[in-house]
Amino acid sequence: MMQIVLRGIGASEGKAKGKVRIIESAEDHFKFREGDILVTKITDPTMTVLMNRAAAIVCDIGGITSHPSIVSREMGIPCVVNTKEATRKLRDGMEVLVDGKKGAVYLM
Amino acid sequence: MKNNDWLDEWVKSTAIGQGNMRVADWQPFNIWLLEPFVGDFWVDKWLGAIKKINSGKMGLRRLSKTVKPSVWRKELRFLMWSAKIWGYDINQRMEIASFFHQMLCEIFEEDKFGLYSNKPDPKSAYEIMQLPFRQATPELSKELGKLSSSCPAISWSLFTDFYYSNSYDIYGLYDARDFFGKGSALVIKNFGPYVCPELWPESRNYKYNKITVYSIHKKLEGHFDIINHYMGNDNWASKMTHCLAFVDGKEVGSAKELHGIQDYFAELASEQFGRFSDLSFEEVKVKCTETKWYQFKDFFAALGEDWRPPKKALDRFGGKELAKFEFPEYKNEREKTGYFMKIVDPRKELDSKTAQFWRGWRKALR
Repeated sequence: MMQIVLRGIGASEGKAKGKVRIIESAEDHFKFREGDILVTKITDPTMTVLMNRAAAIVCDIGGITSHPSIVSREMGIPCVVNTKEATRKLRDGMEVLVDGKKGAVYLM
Repeated sequence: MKNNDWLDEWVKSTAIGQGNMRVADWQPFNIWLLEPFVGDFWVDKWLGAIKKINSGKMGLRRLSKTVKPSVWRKELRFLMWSAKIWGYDINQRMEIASFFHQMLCEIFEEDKFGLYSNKPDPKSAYEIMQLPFRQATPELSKELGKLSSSCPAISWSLFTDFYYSNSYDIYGLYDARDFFGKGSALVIKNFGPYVCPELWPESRNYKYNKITVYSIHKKLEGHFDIINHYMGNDNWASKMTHCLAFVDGKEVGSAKELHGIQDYFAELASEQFGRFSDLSFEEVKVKCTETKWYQFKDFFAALGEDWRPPKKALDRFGGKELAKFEFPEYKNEREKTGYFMKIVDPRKELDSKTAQFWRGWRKALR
């Protein structure tokens, strides 16, 4: 049974599982691996390389027209924005499932 | 459209588009609070340009094509905001709004204000549908998706989050059933130009300048708004059936080659955003203002004018904080849309509380 940990706005449909990587600044980029779940306050252009390698994106803020939402739809990966506390509630290495249609993040 | 029906449509579409965004999330700040600093210079420049156009024999179609369609649509809301803050009267506001409407009429046959689509030049789109498209393999869709992720990032890094339409415009959804079957739609993406040495001298050395992607998607359920945002949570990559990509006019059809190009742009976006982030607050204010005016570089060039903001405009915000104006707390989306409808409608004045704030702000500015 999976436990729901976060709710937000489903900005790009699809489901993806992976390990949480919290990105706060450029110094965090080295820890990001292909297929990780990118968790951040809000994405910016410095994260483009990471976004292109992410299995899903989860943000504290943002709406359906925000940068992570637009980009994740283009790439066909799930995205949940406006979770308000993703960077606070999630920890690096946590295994989660992101449901971009329901706008929910589950702990595996 | 009869009388001023177009104005009702413009106001509705703009307010909805603006309502879809969260100004509090904008980076590095809420641009609505910087715009007024140079607003009167900007409004005067437009009133002067319109006078010049009306007294000369300028081809409106040619002028309309000097600016990206989404830039025309997006800029008018800021012009109306500034015009009201600086006390321009209803006739002057209407003159500007009518001119922008004329420009959009030259570009769009239908839905000029992007209430539910962004479809300039449908005849060209119909011709594009007849090009020899490639079947979208998962690899191609993936690489094109990443390219479409990297390109807006470089646009944002060069032209800020507020004016990135200068190098990022997406058109659609064009009904493509005649060539690709029921439920198929064509999307046209124009990325670039990225080389803008007037703003960023480093851009002279970029390997690529313009990207065009044509893609056919099955059963997309959303639509574009006036800001050129796609409203819907469809997975574009998985719904892509056919595609065609051009880099600086040359077709690129291999996933490997596209991977190299998107990788280049992803790195470049990060590097360029680093440059932007290194700017001081004073420099960011100047850069944002220059970028805004730069969007109309070719338009003003066609009128024999320089695009640059005057020094005295830039001097006005030197050493100053942004205006401390706070947009109201909206109880719901309807209220938010209603507020912005009043801001952008050239026929209406600002509400008394908003007007009072900006009167005080102008007084303090002197």
